[in-house]
Amino acid sequence: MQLLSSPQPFADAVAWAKGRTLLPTSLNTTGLEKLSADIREVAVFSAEVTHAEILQLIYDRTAKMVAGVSPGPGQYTSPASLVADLRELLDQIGYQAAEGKEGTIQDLRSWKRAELIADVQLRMAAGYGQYQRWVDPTSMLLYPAAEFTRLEWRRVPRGTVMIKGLEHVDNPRYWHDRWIEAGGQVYAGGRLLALMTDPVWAAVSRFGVPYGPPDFNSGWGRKPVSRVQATAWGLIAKGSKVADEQQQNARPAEAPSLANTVKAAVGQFAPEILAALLKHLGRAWQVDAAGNLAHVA
Amino acid sequence: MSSLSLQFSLAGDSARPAIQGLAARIGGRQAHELLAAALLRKVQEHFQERDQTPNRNRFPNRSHFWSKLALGTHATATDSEAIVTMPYPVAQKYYGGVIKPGPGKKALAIPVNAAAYGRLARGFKGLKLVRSGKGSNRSAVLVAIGEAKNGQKRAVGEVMFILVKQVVQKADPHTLPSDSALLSAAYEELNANAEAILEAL
Repeated sequence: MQLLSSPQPFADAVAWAKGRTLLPTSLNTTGLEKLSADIREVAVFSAEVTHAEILQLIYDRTAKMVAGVSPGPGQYTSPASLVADLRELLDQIGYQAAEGKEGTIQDLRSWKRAELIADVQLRMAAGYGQYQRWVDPTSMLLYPAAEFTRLEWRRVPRGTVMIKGLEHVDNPRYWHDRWIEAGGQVYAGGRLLALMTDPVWAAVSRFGVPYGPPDFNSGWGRKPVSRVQATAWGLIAKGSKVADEQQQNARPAEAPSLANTVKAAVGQFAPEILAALLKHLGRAWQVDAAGNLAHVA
Repeated sequence: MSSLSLQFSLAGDSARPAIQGLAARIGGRQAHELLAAALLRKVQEHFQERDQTPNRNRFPNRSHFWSKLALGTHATATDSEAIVTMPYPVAQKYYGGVIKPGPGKKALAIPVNAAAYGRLARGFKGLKLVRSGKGSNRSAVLVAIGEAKNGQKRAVGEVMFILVKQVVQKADPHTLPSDSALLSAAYEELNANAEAILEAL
C-alpha cells in the first residue's frame, strides 16, 4: 500500500465534469426532463437556475470534488464544502427563493436542494468514471454483467410512504416493476440482472443514461457480476464470445461534450423547450437546414 | 497528503497457475487490467459493507461517507502492475494524524447536533459564537438561535458545533482489508473465472 505524494485524480470522472457547458434555464424539473438525455448529459443546469455564476460554482467544485485529491491540509472538496460554498454564494448575490417556496426543494438555499445538487453531481460524475471501467473490454471479460440492487440504505425508500411518522409500505416491488417496465429481465430468486452494455441501464434511469443513480436520492445501483456467476444465472451462454457481448449498445469511450454529442433532431423538443434551449445556448447553436440542432461557431 | 494507492503485480509467486496461464495467453497488460478490476471490486465491496453500519454518533441522517469512497475509487494498470487509487479521506482514515484548520481558519468546527452532521459551519447563516470557561477549560461553540415561540420571552439556542484547535484522528487499520487479504480475494476471483475468460476470448 502506498501513499502517493503526487495526486492521482479520478480522470474519467473529472473529464465528465469538465466536458460540460453551463445551461442557465428557467425550466423546472418537468421541463428539463423533456430535454434529450444527450443535452442533459453535457450541460450543467439545475431546475429554475438562471444565474450563470451559480452554475459556474457547481461546475468548478464538481470537478474538484470528483478528483478525490486534496491539494493541501483543509483543502479537500467534499459534497459538504460544495454545499457550503453554494450557500455562501447565494448570500453574496442576494438570492431570494420565489415567494411561498422558501425552505422547499425549490429554494436553492434550502439544505435539501443544495445537498441534492451536490449529491447528483458527485454520483453522476463518479458514476460515469465507474461506467467507463465497467464497459472496458478487458474488465468485461471478468465482470460482463451486473445486478441492479440496493447499495445504500434509505430511511424512506421508494415504494414506502410515511404516514403520521410511521412507515407504510406502498409497493415493495417498486424497483422490480420499474426494471421490468424498462425492459429488464428478472432471474431466479427475483434478481435483476443484465449485461453491462444492456440498454436497460439507461432505460431504468430517470436521467436516461447508463451510469449514475437511477433517480434522485436513490440508493440503488449496479453490483458487478463475474463471468462464472453470469453464466450460472443464464445471462450469457457457456462458451459465448466476449466480442459479441461487448458489441451490444457500447457507447463511445470519450467523455461526452456538447460540441460532439448535440445532434438531436429538433422535432423531439416542444417549441417552448427548444426556444429556451437556443436562448441559453447562445448564437453558436442554430437549427440547420436538415432540422438538426447544430454547432455553427 | 494526497490519494492512497494499492499497487500489486502478478509477478509474485502467489499468483496461481490458472492466473499465470491466463497472463501467458493475454499478455501482462491485460492480465494486470483484470487484476485491477478484481481488486477494485473487492475494495468497493469493503467500503459498501462499512457503509451499512450507522454513523458513530447515531444521528438519524446518513452522509454515506463509505459509499461515496467506493464511488470515488478507481483502477488502472500497466504491463507490470495493477493500481487501485482511493480518494483522499481513505488515506486520512487509514493513517490517522493531526487535522488542523485550513488556510485562514483558526478552528475546526465539529458537529454535535444531527442538524449539523455532514455539514460545514460556514454553510449556516447566523450561527452565534459562545465562549465559556477560562484557561485550559476554555471552550467555544457555535449556536443556532431559533425564533422565540409562543409563550417564550427569549429565543432558544441550540449548540450545533464545538470549536477545537485541532483533532488527532486515530489510525484505523480496518479502513481497508490487509494487502494480503485483498490480493488473496482478487486472485480467488480471477482463478475462479480464468477458464471462462479463456473460453470467451
